[in-house]
Amino acid sequence: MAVVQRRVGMLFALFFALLLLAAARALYLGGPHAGALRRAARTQQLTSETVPAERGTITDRNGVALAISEPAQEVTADPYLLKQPLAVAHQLAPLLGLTQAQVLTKLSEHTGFVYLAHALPYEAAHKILALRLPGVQGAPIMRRVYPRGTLAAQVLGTVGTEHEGAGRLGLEYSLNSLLAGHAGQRHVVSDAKGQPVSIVETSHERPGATVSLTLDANIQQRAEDVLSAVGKVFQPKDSTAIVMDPRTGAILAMANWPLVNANDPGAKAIEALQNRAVNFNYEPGSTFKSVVVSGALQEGRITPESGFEIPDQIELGGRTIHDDTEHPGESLTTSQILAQSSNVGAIKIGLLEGREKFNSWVHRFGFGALTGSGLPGEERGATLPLDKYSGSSMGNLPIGQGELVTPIQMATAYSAIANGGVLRQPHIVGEIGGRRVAEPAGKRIVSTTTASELRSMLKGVLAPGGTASEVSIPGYQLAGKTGTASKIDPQTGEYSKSAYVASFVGFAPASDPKLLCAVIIDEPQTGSIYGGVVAAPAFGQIMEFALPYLGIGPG
Amino acid sequence: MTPPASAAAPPVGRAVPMPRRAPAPRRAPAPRRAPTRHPRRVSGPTRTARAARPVRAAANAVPRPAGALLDRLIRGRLWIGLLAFSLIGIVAMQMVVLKLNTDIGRTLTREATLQRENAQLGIEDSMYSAETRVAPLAAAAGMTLAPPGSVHFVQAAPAYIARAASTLSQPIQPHVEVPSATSAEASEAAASSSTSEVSGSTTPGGEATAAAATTESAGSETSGASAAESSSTSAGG
Repeated sequence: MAVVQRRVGMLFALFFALLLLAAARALYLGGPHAGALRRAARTQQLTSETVPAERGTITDRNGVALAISEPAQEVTADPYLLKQPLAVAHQLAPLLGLTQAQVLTKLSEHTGFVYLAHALPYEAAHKILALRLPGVQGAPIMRRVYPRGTLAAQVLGTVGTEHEGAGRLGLEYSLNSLLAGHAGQRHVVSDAKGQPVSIVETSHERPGATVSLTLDANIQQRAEDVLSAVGKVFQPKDSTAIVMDPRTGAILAMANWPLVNANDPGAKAIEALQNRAVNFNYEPGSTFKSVVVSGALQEGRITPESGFEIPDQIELGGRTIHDDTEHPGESLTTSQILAQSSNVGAIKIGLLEGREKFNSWVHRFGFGALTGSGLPGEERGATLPLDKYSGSSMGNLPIGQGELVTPIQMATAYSAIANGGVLRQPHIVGEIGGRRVAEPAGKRIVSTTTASELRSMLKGVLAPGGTASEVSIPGYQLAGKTGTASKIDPQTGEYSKSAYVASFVGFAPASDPKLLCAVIIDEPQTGSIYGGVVAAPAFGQIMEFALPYLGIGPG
Repeated sequence: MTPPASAAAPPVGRAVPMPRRAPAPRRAPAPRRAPTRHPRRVSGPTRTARAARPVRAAANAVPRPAGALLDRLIRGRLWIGLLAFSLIGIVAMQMVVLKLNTDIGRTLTREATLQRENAQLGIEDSMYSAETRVAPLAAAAGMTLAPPGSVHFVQAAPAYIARAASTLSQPIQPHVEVPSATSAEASEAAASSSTSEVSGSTTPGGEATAAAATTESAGSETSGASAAESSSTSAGG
């Protein structure tokens, strides 16, 4: 019995000693060693992760993704923690898509932080992080992808790599507050195997809204293809085309040439990233004649059949203005003046209208002001203030010289003629987060009769004898106006004899327009410089596709 | 010394004087009772005596000490079971929490994977539907873009819709098993089907397309054009 008791006592003593040891160890770990352990735990087990917000997708009107975000990683390294930079560079180079020398250069920097790759696709980043190289880390971010590459690249814009990928250009910039969303934060405690054992979300991430544009990817593609073809033939400096629904002001296509790959915007000069449809200021030339004729018609100064004696040239304020081609004195109606694009005829109508009225009509059609399209970088153009009119101003303003307009302003003004006289704000955003954006209300600027008369007159431009008579679409009646404007030579300050802007703005079906297209070609170099030869055929090719595609009958 | 028998056992039937009691062992003093208070005598008429209230048992009147139950509990064997159950419960709960967290981690990983796949599919969808890709494939299959002049549209009207609906018929063989054909045969079949559509043959499929086209929806490719043509025929006829 005594033996048993002694053994029990010894066992108790042993366990008590072990308990004492454990308590001592616990005291040591919780006391003197606590700080170091806490620091180690923080770095090894506790991670504070940023949950990147998914940037909203930009789609066309049919839901085709034009800009979409996918998860990626920002791969960084701490060169001080790398013991064998050469070996690491050898391992990383093929995964980063860089040469070994390039990686080694980065890893040899005397700093504790270097970027190895911005927005590396997840698969590649995952392979790198799986190597578990000391000092090499990845941070989750969202990578912006433009699946259609060049399609509407200047309209969509780009996002930067800094500031959580904020928009830098185009709609990515102007709609950034909607698209960006809010990144979240979470604290993750992982076990020794790296498995999370505790996840606490300190703030929830909120994805950006999906923005549906009024653009149609197929019409946009066609417009860009046509501009590319024009680029090959006429080798212009640049060009732009706008396709609009004149009834609503919805922009269906906004193409720019040269094309830019939105996934690699750095490959082209910054000028190529500009959306010329809204920021190209140019003298409109003869396309502006519709404005002066509209005003005079609305004022009751003229009718489509009003006759004018048109000499070959006219002198005004010491300036002599010629018609494009030399001709003997002739009698033309208002319709013929538009169809043949007579400079002298337009000036005579302008003089009939008077400078004050003419000036008010210029502003009533929206020139000299932003259209309100919401597209970033939009220019106002430039109109001559009434008090700055000289004796010769009415000799050049009615024919589209001496004022600057933008392609979107011109398309908007012609939309008013096409839709029966209501100036509508052009818009490109159709839906935000699945909610339809209200279409802006229009403002009547001319009567339906005036608009109808003008549409009839503009049919003559594409009829035999008109300046764009070679353009036709079987089954459809087209209407529009050509423009050929010489540019100011910056060297001489005079109108250039070699640099022109060729343009065409038209719509169809002429009797009940449902589609409008404006094509502006800047400085065509080879072939021709005339709007009727360079721009009007491009208009025809775009409309030839778009009209049946949209189910618009001849009307 | 042993007491005498007489002293030990008193004789029966005889009155025995009570022996002197030995002094009782000292006991703990009984709890002091509050002195019984008698009602003071007062002058006046005699009052009726109140019915005596039942007196509760003393055991019930005194509250049981709180530790008594615990004492009984821990002196028994039940507490071992309770303690074991509690410990196992705590450990099990911890395990469940850990498992939940691991599941959350897995779910988050899965969410990220799905998000990535979704984005990838969106990108592919956009790329595959590009006109630059579809147009050459369509051309290779023998399709061409319908010339604008050959496309006719009809105005949608209730009569047309009713007529189009009346021409709808159930496909004869809605699901036909096609034996595996070579790609050349497949493309040939596609080309021949597109040709038959262009020529405006009145197949059940063609009728169905005609009905759809009465609402002025147009396709961009040949099939769309043929649909419009056949709709024109059916409506105009």
